[in-house]
Amino acid sequence: MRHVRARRVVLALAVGFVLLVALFAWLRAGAGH
Amino acid sequence: MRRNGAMPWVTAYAVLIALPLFFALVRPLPPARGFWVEFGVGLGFVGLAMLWLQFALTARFRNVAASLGLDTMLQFHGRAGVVAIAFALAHPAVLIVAQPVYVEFLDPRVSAARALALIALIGALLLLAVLTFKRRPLGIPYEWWRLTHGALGFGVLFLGTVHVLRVGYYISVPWKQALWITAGVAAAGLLVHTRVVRPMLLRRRPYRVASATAERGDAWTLAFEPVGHAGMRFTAGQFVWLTLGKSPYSLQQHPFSFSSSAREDRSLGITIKALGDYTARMGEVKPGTNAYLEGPYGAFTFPAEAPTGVFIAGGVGITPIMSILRTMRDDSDQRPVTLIYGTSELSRTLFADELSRLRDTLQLRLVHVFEKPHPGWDGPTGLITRELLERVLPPSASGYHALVCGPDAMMDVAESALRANGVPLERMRSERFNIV
Repeated sequence: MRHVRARRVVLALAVGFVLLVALFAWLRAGAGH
Repeated sequence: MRRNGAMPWVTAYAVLIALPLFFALVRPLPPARGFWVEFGVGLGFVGLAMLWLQFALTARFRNVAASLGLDTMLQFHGRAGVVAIAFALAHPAVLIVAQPVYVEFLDPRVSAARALALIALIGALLLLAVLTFKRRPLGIPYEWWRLTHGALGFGVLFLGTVHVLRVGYYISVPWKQALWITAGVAAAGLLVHTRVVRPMLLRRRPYRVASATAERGDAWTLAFEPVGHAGMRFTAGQFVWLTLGKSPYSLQQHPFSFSSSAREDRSLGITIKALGDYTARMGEVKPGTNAYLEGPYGAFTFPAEAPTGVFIAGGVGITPIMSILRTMRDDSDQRPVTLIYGTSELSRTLFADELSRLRDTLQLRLVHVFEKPHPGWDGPTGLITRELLERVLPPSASGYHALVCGPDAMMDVAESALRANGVPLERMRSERFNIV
């Protein structure tokens, strides 16, 4: 079961990181306005 | 997951990776750019942070490995590596699409050194992925892969960190620069620790092959005795990284489970089946050969609080379970256990005779499953299937803890059958032996 969990955890983290990067970009891009 | 499980470690991992983004938002801030440029930059920060932490995942920290299992960490390292490379490669792609002017970073006419370094960085990232996932089809020997994997990893780490410092958009102040350099040096330090310092420490604790015994089914049991030190204590079911020969710096270091009782710490037994080019040479190992054992590692153990146990083994996956059963014998542990053991045929079944004898001293229910049954065999045949497991598994209400070790296909079947039988994850431990 662990290999399934490792895969799911990495997938969830990857999605989370993309959203985090989007938040970062939004904060930075919005900072100038 | 286990009680002291993965959640704190996964959280720590996510926080560490988010740190570069967080620090990039701390003032003084450079002028704002468009969303997609910042998005591309952010991908690069996350990709590099993930690549740094790859070195921590393979550093074999005993306390992390004990709560997660080293095989889980290596699986995580492999999958996280793919994501890290994807982020790192998406970084230039998104930037160039958002602002085509960024293509000049890769243009040798603008700056030959920068273009060469960045093209080398992209090439190293791609090569890391290709060599890892195509090592077997390409026929690359394990030791060459291990050497290039470390070297490419180091190259990516170095070039990536230098790239961030040279661009310097978000790290214009000295404390930010210091943080980035510290992180890069720490990651490099982890690599040096794993590949240089740890073998150096191993050199002080050598072992000697006391005996090499042929077992059924092209397997060998090597017994190791400590030379000039007290040996090591392990918990039955754990494994070590084994290096044979004079030098602990050999690139041929492989993980193997103990098969001997955990109560015999002066003679450590490892049973190895001839499966690959390295293991096939085990028959040639002579008593007296120098060896280094790094460990013990692994969370594949039978917990003291388990009232009963179900062990499912396929082929050489029996070795850690054999260690558990032998230890139970030495401890006069009378908890009832069921062993479901799939092999090709009786004449090639590791430990078949001793398992039969163990039934006299342990409360052991032994279920052999033979792919090629011998004449007169009226027990289960074929592979370990879900139907078979549904037939032989005790009711989950008995509170048994399950241990599963064997080939991937068998593990998948066993794990899903155990789930269907109502066994929660915290009562299930598994170990895959193709972790590297």
